[in-house]
Amino acid sequence: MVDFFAGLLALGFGFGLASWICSKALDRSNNIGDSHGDCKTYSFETTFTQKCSGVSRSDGMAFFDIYASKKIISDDVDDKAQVRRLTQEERKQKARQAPRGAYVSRNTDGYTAGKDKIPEWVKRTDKYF
Amino acid sequence: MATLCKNCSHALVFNPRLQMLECSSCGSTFKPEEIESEAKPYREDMKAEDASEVYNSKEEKFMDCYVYSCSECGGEIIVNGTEASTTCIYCGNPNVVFSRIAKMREPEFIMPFRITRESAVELARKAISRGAFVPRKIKNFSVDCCRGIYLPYWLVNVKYYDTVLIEGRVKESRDKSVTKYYGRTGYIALRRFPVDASTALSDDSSSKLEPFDMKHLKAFDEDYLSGFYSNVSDVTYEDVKKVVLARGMEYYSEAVLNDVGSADVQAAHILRSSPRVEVDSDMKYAMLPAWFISFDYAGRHHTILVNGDTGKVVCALPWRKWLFFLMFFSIAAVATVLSSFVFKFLLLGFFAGDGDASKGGFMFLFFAVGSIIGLFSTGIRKIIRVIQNVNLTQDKAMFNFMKKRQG
Repeated sequence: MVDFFAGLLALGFGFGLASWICSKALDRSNNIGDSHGDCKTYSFETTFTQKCSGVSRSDGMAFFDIYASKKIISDDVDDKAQVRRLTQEERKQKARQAPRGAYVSRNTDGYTAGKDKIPEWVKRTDKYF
Repeated sequence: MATLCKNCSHALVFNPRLQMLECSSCGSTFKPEEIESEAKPYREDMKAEDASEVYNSKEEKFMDCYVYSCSECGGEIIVNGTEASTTCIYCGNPNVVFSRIAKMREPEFIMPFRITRESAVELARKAISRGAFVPRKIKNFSVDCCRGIYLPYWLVNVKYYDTVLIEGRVKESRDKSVTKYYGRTGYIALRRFPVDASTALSDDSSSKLEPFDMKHLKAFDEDYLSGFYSNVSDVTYEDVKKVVLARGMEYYSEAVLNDVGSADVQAAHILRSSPRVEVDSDMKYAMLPAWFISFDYAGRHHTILVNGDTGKVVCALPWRKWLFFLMFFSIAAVATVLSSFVFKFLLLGFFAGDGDASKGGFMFLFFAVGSIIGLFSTGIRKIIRVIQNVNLTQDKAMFNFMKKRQG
């Protein structure tokens, strides 16, 4: 009985280990450049406006139900329309309507957010507009 | 042609090594921003005409074909619906379809090629040569076609909002751990996030070309297109939203799991998520460079992508199956024999012992079976991923996107 179980486990472990090692080797050898820009390339710091930690399932669900329904104001664009550059007039109008300090983290509930760091290249390309 | 040499009136071509426009006849070089195409003002309103109307035919071969004329020799140039620059097959001069990049259609930025054609092929060969499972024939591939193409991208400002509920295990004592729940609501802001604006090229392929070094972006000048192919945007706002939603979710999930994981929570995973994305409609239009290198192997076309800015090589290649299985069965045989002794020894110890030892034996069995399942699933997932990427490299649509161009 012990021999049978030991053999079965060894077989599973042997083939499992082989599939793990071979797949890793195959990935390294034949799958070249399988990655894309990470979070740090494009983003500022993530801002958490609300947190709850180490709570029960019901409290967690209550947290989710409260904050998941938050309505987000979005640009009113026709989704089916082709993406296009905005005209100068449209840009001016958008700038007038936009809240001041857009893309600056807002500290809403006591969680330190801090100002978004603007990468150098963004500042540099901003001068064209 | 886009621009003529001031000294000999020969067509200028952008040289990625010099970062200048170069005359292949007299060798003069000019900075793109210092020289202006003479053809541009006259040809801005000249549209590429629908081939089916020009030839008065509804044949399939004229679908998505447009007729333009070479500004140098007047020869007929055939372009597809989104091509913005190409080469005349009669005189070999670069041509720009100005009407597609004029006025409000003009991209705001361009990232000039920094990698030359020769370097791109060299980089691809170097990356492939390191692969142990790559067939010898592929390592010595002969280039069927190599094209430098400026891909259209929208640089988007995005705010990704999400509220997530996370489940994780926390240790209460040495032997006991309990399930706890964590909630996080917040947002992640992406600035100038590049979204592929070409429907002909799959997002899976184009996203792998990232990251581009955005410091190399320059104000758009059509002279950079000289000698390269380019496409214009044909995506909708919905396409853009889908891409940024998927990427925002990936980044945000990573951030919340890191945040929760830092509080000694194990096996944390997201139970519920409520993503929303706010896309700024004021997107910046940019052209980013990529080399497409194709070769034939086993009767199929394979296309390698090389980032024209950083030189990152993207491809997945067929493998030597006999070598893979030889390695697989060798490792499996050795590991099975060795581990059988270990397992037998451990199991004998557990089941010959008292109550505590038996309990330990069951725990060990549970752990061993879990590890085996984990090893198998990780391995198989990885192999499936490689197969998917090989299919992308062999993708006919990508090959046609590159190959079906003049010149």
